[in-house]
Amino acid sequence: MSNNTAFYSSTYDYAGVGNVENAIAYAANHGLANFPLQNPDGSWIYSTPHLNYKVANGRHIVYGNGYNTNLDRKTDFSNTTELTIKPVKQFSLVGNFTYRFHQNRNTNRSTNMVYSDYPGVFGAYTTGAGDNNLYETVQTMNYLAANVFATYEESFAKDHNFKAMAGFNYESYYRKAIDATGYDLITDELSDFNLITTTRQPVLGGGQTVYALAGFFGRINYDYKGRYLLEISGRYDGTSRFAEGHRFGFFPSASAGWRVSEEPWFAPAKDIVNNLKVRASFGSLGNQKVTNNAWMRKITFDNFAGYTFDGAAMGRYASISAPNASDLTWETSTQYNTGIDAGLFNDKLMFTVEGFIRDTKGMLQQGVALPGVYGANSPLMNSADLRTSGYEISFSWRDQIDLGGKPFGYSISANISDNKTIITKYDNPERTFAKDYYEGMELGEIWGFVTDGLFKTDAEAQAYAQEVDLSYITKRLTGGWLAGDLKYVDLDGDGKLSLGSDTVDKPGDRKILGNANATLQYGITLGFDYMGFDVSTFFQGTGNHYWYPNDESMAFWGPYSRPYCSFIADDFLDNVWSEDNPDAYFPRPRAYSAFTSGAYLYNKNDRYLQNIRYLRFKNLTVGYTVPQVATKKIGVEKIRVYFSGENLYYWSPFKKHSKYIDPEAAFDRRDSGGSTTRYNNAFYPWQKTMMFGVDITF
Amino acid sequence: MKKYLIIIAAAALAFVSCDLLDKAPLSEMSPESYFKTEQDLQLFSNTFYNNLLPKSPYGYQSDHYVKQTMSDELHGGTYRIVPNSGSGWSWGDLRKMNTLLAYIDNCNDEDAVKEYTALTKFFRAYFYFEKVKRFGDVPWIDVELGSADEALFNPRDNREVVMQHMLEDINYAIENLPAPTSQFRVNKYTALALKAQFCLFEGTFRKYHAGESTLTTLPADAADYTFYLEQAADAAKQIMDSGKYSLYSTGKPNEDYRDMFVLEDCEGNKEYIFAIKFDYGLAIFHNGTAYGLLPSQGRIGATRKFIDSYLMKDGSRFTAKPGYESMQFAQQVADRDPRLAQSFRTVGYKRIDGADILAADLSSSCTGYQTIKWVMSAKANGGDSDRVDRSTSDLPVYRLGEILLIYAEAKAELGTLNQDDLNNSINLLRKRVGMPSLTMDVDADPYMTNPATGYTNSKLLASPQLALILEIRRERAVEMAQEGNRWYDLVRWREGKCIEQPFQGLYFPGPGEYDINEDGKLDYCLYEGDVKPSSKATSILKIGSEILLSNGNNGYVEPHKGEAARSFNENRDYYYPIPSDERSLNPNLTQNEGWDDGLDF
Repeated sequence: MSNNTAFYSSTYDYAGVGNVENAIAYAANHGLANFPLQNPDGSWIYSTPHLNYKVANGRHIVYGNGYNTNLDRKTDFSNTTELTIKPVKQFSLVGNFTYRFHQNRNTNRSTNMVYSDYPGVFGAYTTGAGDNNLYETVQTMNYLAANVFATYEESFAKDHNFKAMAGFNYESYYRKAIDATGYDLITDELSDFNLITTTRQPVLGGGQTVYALAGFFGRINYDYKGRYLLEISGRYDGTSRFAEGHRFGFFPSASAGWRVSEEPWFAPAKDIVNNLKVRASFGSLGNQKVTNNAWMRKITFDNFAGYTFDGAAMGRYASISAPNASDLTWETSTQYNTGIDAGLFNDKLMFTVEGFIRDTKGMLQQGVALPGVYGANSPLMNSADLRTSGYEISFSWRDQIDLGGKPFGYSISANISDNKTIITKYDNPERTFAKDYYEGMELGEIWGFVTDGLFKTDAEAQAYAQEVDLSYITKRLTGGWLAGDLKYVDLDGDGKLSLGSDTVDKPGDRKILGNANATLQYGITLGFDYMGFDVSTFFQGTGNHYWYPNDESMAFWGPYSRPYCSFIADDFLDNVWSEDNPDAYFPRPRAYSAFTSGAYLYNKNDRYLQNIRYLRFKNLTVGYTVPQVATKKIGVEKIRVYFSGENLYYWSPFKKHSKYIDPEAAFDRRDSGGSTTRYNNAFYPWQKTMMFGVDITF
Repeated sequence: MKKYLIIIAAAALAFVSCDLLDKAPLSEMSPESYFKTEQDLQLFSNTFYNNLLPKSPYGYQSDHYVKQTMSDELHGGTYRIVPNSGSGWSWGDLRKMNTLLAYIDNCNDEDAVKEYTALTKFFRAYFYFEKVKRFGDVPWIDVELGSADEALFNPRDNREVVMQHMLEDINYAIENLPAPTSQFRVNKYTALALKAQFCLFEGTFRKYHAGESTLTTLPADAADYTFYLEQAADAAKQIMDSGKYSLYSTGKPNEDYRDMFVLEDCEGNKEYIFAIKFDYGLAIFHNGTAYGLLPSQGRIGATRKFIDSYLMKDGSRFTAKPGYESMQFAQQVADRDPRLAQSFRTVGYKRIDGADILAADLSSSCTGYQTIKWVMSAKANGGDSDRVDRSTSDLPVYRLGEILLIYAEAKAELGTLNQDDLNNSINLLRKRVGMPSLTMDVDADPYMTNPATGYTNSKLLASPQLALILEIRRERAVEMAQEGNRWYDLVRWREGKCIEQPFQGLYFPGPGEYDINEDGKLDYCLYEGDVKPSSKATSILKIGSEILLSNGNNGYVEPHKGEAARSFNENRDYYYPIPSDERSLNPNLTQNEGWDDGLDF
């Protein structure tokens, strides 16, 4: 019998409204460089009499005034009791029970933003991020899990090893939340509901969810002399998240291995190849990650954010959830693997080659897009099948040689992998782009227009606009087509820049420009140690993959996105077209041209599609261990001083066009509401870390 | 060992059989157990109010009200494009209405079923009115659609089909909605008001767009425009004759009109047929006050052509006065229809409950004609309502004033308007503000048919009712200033070209110091050159950069001078485009004329 009890409690406090991403995103516009944050008298600058927009959306005040405090407290207790009964040597029965209690208690405070437009005259921003309110929430989670399984293990005739296991498990999870918001506290310094002074009604919220899983599992292992290995296992799982009749799924797996190097006939080669194993497996996994009871339509109740029928109380309303497929069931992915593991020269050289195919059936996701008149989100359903195929190769070489009478150890290892995913089933016979996928589509495809440089002269631009009807992309094209504008190619030669039928077969003037998923991922580790020094480096990289900068990505587009962006790259102007700089990367400056739907940079095109392939110097560690002879004298076993640097440098074609977006940060962001806007404006930069340290062992 | 296996098996069976996996929702209900009581139906339909009703009528731009940054609609031309999605093509509220109607028979309270069926049909007609205004032909859907429903791929129904369904809905609503108990809840008269509104829209649209490409799909047997105008006049008349409503008046012709729109509690105001409640304690705010008051809200201002269209206090025409074009502000606004001074800052303007005389402020109003219509008392909510989103006056959705205008317009367009009708409609509005009556013998105002300042539709100009219609349109624009109707008025009258007329403001004869409201305090100092003069004026503005004038260093304020010319495409801009993704998803949806969505079908 054993028991494992864990308890932890943590507090995390931070400033601001929402998280730090929120602050960076909202500060990314209107905070032009000519604005100081504070007036000479120390008061905050927020608005000015000459500007409609608010400096940095006031985020500097939120952080600067010291009152927008947040505190997250977590308490977690878990206890697992396990009972093992072993009546005979070959058999054991294990039962365990886990109880976990987790509680979040979070407090968020925001206060009015006080600012000054004129000396001695103060104003306050009191809505949105400047609302004076206190939000407190308590979320309690109870989790329990029970497992019972029996194991039987036996070797027959010495060489046949057999092991079988069967059992079942049950888990349940319950969560309850209570939250409250109170308004207009009498002081900014303290945060407690007793300090509310207002007639504005506090807002209360609740919510409970529960789900349970139950299942049977079993496994049989067999090996013959450790040479032939076989494992068969299966799970039969049920979840409360689906409707009765669709709750259970069966997920079998099997694997077989042959340790060729253990064969008697292999002995002669064993000096060179000390380990060789061939293996094959298939395994299936279930995924039930949807909201609880998603198959049901649910009526929920809430207060309006601002509507009343009588002025006495906030109006309340009921709403109904969008219908989802009533036969929602497990998504299953089945993976077929085959591989070879080998070790040569006493494991100095090791390599693994592995190939896999993974079939995902009935992917749980939003169904095929429906016409807007449906009036709700497309039903969640088991809507798509897809197949991912790929490989992975890794090898390492490790050795020690003699260098000047001292041992010089070195190692090199590398791995490379690749995979791609094809949609194998999806209800989109027209293959229209208005739906998310189509059969035969490779995940990550980027379709866009083809361009042919910038117009050299106004005459050239206008002649071209006569020749090809460009009206599809002329939003905000004040003054018409001019020198420095981007020349879009009429790919299908119909005299009109268009989307065709918006289908794969008639895409208009678009084609596949690239893929968002990397063709390759690789990593290289190099290291050596010599005379007390040890050095290791790690490089990591990807093959070609592409990103069309988000329309809100001001770190890339600068004023081509929102012309009032706060931060502009220091060399940005050198890259903007002008009569004197006709070979610039960016076209004729036109505000909002990358930002407004229908404006001409908003449309994906090959000129501004970014290859975000990269090679990153991910880690360098250099250490020196002081000789023991010296340290022993002061009673120390070992002293090692070291330097470690993370993320030291990267190479990427993308760097040429933006130093401010790391290739790994080059993706479209969404905020918690699913909106793509703000969080693409700017975001927390990728960090470089350097560390110096001393390890002392006594 | 066997013993253990049996225990395991038994326990396992127990787990699965005793429904451990049945976890019903704990804080939500199922539709089958809902829709049982009147309260259930009310809670479910409450969202229709919140989602559909207009909460910022003051915010719309048109040829009468412009902001410093004009809307894409006002710019026209390349500012308007076909979006991929959204842009008014949203159907979630309709679905919710149809859901309610699908489940309403769960309820055993027959009166409640009738009332909430009627209420839902009212809102369905409301919903479709917005759709028809925006897109013209739209699919009519009156069931909760399933994801495999073929009706998802229906083509657009002709506006005539939609209108007839709307009439069925609204007639059912009129029949079955209760008598008024609250101005904030839908009742029989709310439904009549909506009917009057959309029938006037449709009748005038059919009349002025007849034979144009905007109506080419209309079936031959479609109801005549006169049918809709008669329906409009009839619905309006029922409200007028009900005796339940009267114009807001406390006997103060120079204040009543202004005060009504900023009433904190409109319950006593018998003019409001339907209104939205705002409340400080509940933090339910609109932005009306800040909109007219603060420089940060887009600087909306009236255009000079609109200001000039206000009559003189004696009923004569301002634009008949010689030299009216170059009158400076104080002269321009003197002795006008009292609604001018109750809608805009004029000479002697003080805030309600305010002590200081305030001049029209170019920094808050790009033309200098600064609106006060939704500006609350300076002391409202302790002065707090002067801030962004802190206004708490109740906003009207339908008011009797509009109903009277609908009645007069429908009758005039029908050619059946008589002096009694005028006395029962327009002249009541005029009487409230102390204006003389309108009479049948009025002549056509050349200002209102001047292509630079008025209407140009050939059907209108040829109409025997021209003179009366022009006066009724003037009355409508004046009475309903900044209430958000103007854009669709231009649409239904086929007068989109009005947005191409000059958008001008205050007149300044040249550089110099001005006390525009003649209160003894200098308001503006306009200068040329690089040296900023010293002046006691509140604003010192450099001509050509800080203030743009129509004629170099003199003329009218032209806030948009130098911007690309506005253009209204009569073969495109009366309707909004169908989003291109929607046409890809349902190729049976046709695009409105003139819109290029890049699709080849």
